[in-house]
Amino acid sequence: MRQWFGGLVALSVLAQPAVAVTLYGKANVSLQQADEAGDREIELQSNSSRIGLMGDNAIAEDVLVIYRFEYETSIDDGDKDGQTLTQRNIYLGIQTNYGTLMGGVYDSPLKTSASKVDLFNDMEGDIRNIFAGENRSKNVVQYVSPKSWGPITAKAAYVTKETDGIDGWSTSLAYNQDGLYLAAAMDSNIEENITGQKTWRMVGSYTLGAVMLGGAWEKYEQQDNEGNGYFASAQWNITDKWVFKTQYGESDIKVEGRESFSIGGDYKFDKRTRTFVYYTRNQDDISRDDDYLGVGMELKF
Amino acid sequence: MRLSKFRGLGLIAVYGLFVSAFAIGGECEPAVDMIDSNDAVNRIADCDYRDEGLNGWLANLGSGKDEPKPKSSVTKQENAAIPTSRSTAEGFVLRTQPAADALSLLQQRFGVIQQAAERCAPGVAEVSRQAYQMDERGNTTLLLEFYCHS
Repeated sequence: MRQWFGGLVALSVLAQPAVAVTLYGKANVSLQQADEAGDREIELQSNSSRIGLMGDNAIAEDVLVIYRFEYETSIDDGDKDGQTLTQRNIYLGIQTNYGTLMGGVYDSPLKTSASKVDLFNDMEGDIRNIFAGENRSKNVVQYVSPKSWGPITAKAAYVTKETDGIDGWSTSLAYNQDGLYLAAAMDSNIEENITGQKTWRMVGSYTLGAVMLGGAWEKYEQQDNEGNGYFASAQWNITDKWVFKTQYGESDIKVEGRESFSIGGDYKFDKRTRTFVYYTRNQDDISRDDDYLGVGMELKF
Repeated sequence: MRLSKFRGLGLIAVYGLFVSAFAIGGECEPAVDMIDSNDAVNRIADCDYRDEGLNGWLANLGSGKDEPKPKSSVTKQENAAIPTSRSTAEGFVLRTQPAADALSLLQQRFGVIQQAAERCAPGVAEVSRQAYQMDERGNTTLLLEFYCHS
């Protein structure tokens, strides 16, 4: 009997899963012809290629410790701001039936509220060309509402800005169900060394069959500047393999008369691997008159 | 970074060959998409990526396999049979995902037995021992030890 029991214990230990760790990331690289105000060149671009670890560990009933360590690396030349790897979203948190509380470096709630509608995210046509508020803040304490809230996700982040001593905050409220996504977000004093900064953002998208339509509006103000802008995007999943997408945005938040237009298509080999082609035009009344035409490939793992 | 057109296209082609080694299908969205979603922290526990993509390839290194086995992923709630395995000196152990009900556990048992039979083919898989384990959420995991016989 003792031998049998011992065997079961050994069997149990032998097959015990390792600590819950998921390695994830993506490699996204493109070859593009860039025409930046008449200066033409061929560029190999790494588009926010990254690698990360995430997971959870149950420490009691309905209590999870969650974590994420994510780093960006440049596939094109191995140089990301002078380093091989740079820090992206990194946090440690605790999750209960009442929500999640986490601390670390993390995209602000206002930034993540628009992740669904930016179809050329991390590319030349990224929404950051026209909108402010695409911030990944350091020293963040963030609360996220629990899963039991169903289609509603509320977030509130407090940023202890240790550089300028002006603490900031960011909040969002999102509804996501049956193809409809709506979000409202606001933040204050998130940007470094800028006083009186406030950003408001409204986001919406609707997916009907193979078509997704999205839009966003933003208002931004600070001590010396203010502006607003809008953004619209459309995606058509022509087949399981082929995707057509386009987006346009216009604002005077960053520069007077800034416009960004992108059009492109994806071919999906499977859910993890795609190749894509794109054209992006970024222009404004003052400094930019840029065109980009490129082809690339992405693997998610 | 400036490159000649041909050199750049060559790099893209080499990259494509590399990435195709890890491309597999499944039902859960890729982990990098899930973790970037607005409600990511509430979805971390939804999908099990332990046997997916690069994670599957790394896990299989421990069992002496070189390639990840293509397999659809399922959510933890579905509790379908996604056994994780580790070879012993004489046999090998397969385990189910934690199951919340008897039907799920039985279905997963069938999946585990199928995988063991496939591994031992053309021989037979003999169940030498079995054990049950309950986690802190009250879900039950089945562990089976197999031996292959010709």
